[in-house]
Amino acid sequence: MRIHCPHCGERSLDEFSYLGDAVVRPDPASPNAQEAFYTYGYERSNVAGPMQELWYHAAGCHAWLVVTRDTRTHEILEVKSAHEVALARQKVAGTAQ
Amino acid sequence: MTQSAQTSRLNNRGLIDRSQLLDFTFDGVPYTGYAGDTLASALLANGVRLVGRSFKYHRPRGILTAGSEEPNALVELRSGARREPNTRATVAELFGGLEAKSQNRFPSLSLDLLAINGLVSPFLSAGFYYKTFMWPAAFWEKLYEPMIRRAAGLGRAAPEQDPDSYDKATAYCDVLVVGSGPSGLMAALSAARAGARVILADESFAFGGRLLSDARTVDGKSGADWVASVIAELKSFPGVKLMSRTTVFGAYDTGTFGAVERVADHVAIPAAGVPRQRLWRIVAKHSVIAQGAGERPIVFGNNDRPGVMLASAVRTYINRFGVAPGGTAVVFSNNDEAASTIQDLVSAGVTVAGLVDTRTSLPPAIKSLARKHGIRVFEGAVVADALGGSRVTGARIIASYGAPQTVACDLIAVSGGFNPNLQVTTHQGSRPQWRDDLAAFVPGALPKGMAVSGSAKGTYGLASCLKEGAQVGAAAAAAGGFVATAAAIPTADDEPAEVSAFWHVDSSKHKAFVDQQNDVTAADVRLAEREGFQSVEHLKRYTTLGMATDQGKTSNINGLAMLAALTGKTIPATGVTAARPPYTPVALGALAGEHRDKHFKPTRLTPSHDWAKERGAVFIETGLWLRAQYFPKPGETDWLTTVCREVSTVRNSVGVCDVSTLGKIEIHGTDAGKFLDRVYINMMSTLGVGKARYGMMLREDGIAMDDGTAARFADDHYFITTTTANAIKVLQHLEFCRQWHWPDLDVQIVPVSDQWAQYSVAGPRARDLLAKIVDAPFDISNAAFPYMAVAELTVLGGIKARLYRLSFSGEMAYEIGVPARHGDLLMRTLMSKGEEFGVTPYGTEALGVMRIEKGHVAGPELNGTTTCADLGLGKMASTKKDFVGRILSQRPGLADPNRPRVVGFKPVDKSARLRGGAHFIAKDAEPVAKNDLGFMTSVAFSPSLGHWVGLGFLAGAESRMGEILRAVDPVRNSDILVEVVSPVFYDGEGARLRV
Amino acid sequence: MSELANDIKKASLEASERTGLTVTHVAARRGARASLDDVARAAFGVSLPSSPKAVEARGALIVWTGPDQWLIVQKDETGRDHYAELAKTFNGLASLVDVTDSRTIFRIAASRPSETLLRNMGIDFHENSFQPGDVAITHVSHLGVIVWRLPDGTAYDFACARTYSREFADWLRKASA
Ligand SMILES: [Zn+2]
Repeated sequence: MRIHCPHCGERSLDEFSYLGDAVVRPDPASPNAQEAFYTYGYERSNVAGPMQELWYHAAGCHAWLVVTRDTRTHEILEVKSAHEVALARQKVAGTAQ
Repeated sequence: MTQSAQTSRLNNRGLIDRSQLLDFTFDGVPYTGYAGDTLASALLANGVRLVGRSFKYHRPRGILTAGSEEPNALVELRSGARREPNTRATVAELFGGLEAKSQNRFPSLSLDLLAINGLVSPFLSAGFYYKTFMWPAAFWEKLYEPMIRRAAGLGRAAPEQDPDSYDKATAYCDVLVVGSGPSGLMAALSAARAGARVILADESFAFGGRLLSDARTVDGKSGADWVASVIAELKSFPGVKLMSRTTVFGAYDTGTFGAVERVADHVAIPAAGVPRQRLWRIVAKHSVIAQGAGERPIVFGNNDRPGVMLASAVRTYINRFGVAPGGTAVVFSNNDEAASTIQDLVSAGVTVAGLVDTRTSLPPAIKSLARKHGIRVFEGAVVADALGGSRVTGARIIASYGAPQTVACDLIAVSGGFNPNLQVTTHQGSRPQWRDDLAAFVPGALPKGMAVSGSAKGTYGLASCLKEGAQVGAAAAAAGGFVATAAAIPTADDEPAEVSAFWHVDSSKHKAFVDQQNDVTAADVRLAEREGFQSVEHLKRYTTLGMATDQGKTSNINGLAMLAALTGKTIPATGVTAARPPYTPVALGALAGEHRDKHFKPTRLTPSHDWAKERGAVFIETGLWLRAQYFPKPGETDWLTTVCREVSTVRNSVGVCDVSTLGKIEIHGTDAGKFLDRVYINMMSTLGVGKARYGMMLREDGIAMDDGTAARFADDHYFITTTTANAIKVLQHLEFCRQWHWPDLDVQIVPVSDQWAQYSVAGPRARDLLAKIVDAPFDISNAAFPYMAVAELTVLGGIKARLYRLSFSGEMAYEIGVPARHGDLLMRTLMSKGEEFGVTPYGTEALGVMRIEKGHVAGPELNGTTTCADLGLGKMASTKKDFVGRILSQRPGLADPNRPRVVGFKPVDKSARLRGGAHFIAKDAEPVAKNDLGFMTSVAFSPSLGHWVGLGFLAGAESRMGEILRAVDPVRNSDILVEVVSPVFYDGEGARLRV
Repeated sequence: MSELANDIKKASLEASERTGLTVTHVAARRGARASLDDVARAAFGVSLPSSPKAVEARGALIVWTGPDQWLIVQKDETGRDHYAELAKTFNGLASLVDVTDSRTIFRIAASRPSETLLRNMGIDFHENSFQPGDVAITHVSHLGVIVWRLPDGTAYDFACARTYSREFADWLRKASA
């Protein structure tokens, strides 16, 4: 498999390591934090189809990536910088507040 | 003097090089062949038909095919450490001095005592493993398995280490063409002319595929001459890579292919520096699969006798190798290719005693060809059985009319039609599709970027293959952005290729083999169906059909067609089993490549390595590092003496240990403190500049991940250390936190593990020693530089350094870091300047002893199941902030105060030895699992105390202080009494640290 | 490291270990990228590359090593402290770490890769694919490496972790044969 790192270009699978479902760390200050962290830690999605996953370009630029992959075919539909996705997420959250 | 003189070699025929006579032996008998032969063709040239014994029944077997699909002619090549079993004689390239042996026979090939298996064959029928060996269980190990291993099986692996080297390589291209038959060559040519980077790979040592095997003309030239002209043109393009002897064995995601190149399989011993084989990863933007089609046999009685051969193989041996595979032949067929077979046999001087065709009405062209050569034609007929034992002596023919007849012959050329070689197209999960008109499966939906061309797609005519190849090659190049037009199509005829589906002769008297390599018969398939194994996947597993090293290339379709007929389903409704990589077997050596022995994994060397080696250190592998374990002095004969001396010297004077293997990470930025607060359980933002603090990190699930120290050099500059083992993991974790959790923080993370040579200088004289190397005006006094102070300074006259007043040993101690290139000098200087104090270097062993004496937790305690409370560090966790792992560490299960905690243990009998891994049991309890109270994690002989000390996890630890327990180690047969004590055995008040 | 230099000489490669360099890791402070570029342009006359490229300017080679991160490779000069000068130049805009000793840098003086090098690299190292000024952070045979092709196309530099440098020299010996 080949993954197109948005920073380094297309590289072979062996340069990357996999974490799993691209879920967001819950708010530790929320009243149901225990429950939310439990879900975050243990109840990860594992869909058959396109899924957003976190990958790390371990042997390359050390960037974390949000990879949209079809788990049935291994087709990679999109790769984004996790840092930028996270910044955009915070911006949206900031606007919402 | 050779045994025989290639009596079956044809004059003036074949693509072998008659100027290069090669000697070889088979089962010790010397023979000759020519360059360009395979072992199989050379054996046939010498009239050798019997080449092996079958897997289960030890039946005599010969050569069925001329290619990599061969199920029978498996031999051992070479001898000694280079002996390689299960090599297909049909693809083994002949070389001078080749030693080949038949396998799976006892005591000799012609007299095989185990052929008696054939007589007890009801015992070995389908599912025999499942039925026979259920009971009694003990019989399996003692009787059945050894017996079967003796009786059934393939070749023997060499017990010695493989002396040859293997290599791994990567190649990139715009267009990968797999297979160099007519279609593959045209595809490669069209893509190359467009300017694409092209790789053309073929498993044979010669390019050309069927063009070398069939007596056909292209552009008025012989097939071989036309191939030579195309190869010459391809060579003229700088972007074209021609890879013969290269099997593309697997297709993986995103245009990645696995291939193995047999670089030196065709020589006795590879030249110096040349690998035997090379494993390629080929990354192709587009690929053209043109692996041709494989002929399938028809299943009939004794169809495994030496002398039964695929018709296409017969033509290959005649045309490519100039060998007559028999003297008198019967052709048994269901398709029009029979015409070519007859022509080639006749032209080679082989008598054709009959054409047996399952079709009731043959095309006129074939009939007139037969008439012309005086060949008897049996229409609507079958060869029911081959006659003869270790070679064919005749064919028993049954026609729809008249009585069975016997025709004498020594060769039965059989053809049941062709199966496109589509395995590689299915490796990523796509399913082939059935085509009734071809009576064959063709590739279904293809992975992105892949195209199939020619016979591999079910396009059989030569002219059609050439044309399709040109078009598909041009399209692949065009898809890659090149301006491409299909190469002009050379002239050639499309041969007729009508086929009428026919799989299996019902009227056979003898065993009829579906899978010859695994000895699966037609009766086995019927039995499986009768017993309810009616899915093709069940059939495969119950009978082992298609599970041999040939993955059923000559058997799968016949087997499933028979199953379909038995169940009354169509073939497409019955389905096919999945083909998986590798297409043909790949040597494990090739998969390992250079990663074996010393290069199995890379070795990391510390900055003091050369010095330690000179000093006679004993090294130990810790992860990828090679570290000094201890430094024996002359006269010290056992490690314990050395380690005790090293510990005592540190405790009484001073010692130096290379701790450069610690992970070292720079944390910068205005939010550095805030960031560290979130990843450590304790506060780091409150750490003063010029100070260090011990820290613990958790995983998000609340389990301890790693510990180390954080030093602060400026408001926006920290330097942290990790354990040696977790350096990479912690860096990845910190980057994850920075990039994904808290992207808005101003934090920069720079790994600097290799930048610093870092040494621990420990012991009551540590300061005295360091005072000799620090540059003025640095004040190293206890008042100016107290416990947990850090500073940047220079040493040895201007070398930039960092000094940390940290102690792992429990003594007054420092860690000093200098840029790694100065590490060797610093170590040598510390040793020479420390002579007056009796300085000792110490290794990982003494380091471990002292940390256990001090009750510091390390790897055995941070084992991925323990919380910081378990480790006795619960009070470190800040309650004033959030940090990774905080929430989930509060789960009831993890917060349970009765969880086993770290405590210390000492033996009641002071001379007793403690054992890591021993379990704690109450003094009067039975040593059984339900009475288990915990286990010992770390033990050491303490030279400071004069007895063994241990750390371990104990349930209800606080209430058990002072209690006497049993420490039971059933593995090493040890059961001793221990006392539960504080984990800090040495200097409980920590007074020695602060002096 | 003299043993290493000897090893390389024995292998009669066009490869050599580069010494006498100062290597500084520069990481942009958050939100300071634009100002950092202004300062870089003033100091070196070029912008800091935003993609895997190496640019040469005023005696320094600026090598992209990740998003908002670079290595600045400078030849040592008597009486100059490159790191201190850079720290002053980029003060407040970037985090600087002296990583001179973190890696060993090997140079293969060649205008294009040999067949062996081509097939031993995991990335596409063909001279048309990996062009002058290109940078890749990758691994070869389990060893992490930063490789760049000099902007003038005359050589390839391989920077590998210092503690692996003997292992890497082994690889280089094989790959450059
Ligand atoms: Zn990357």
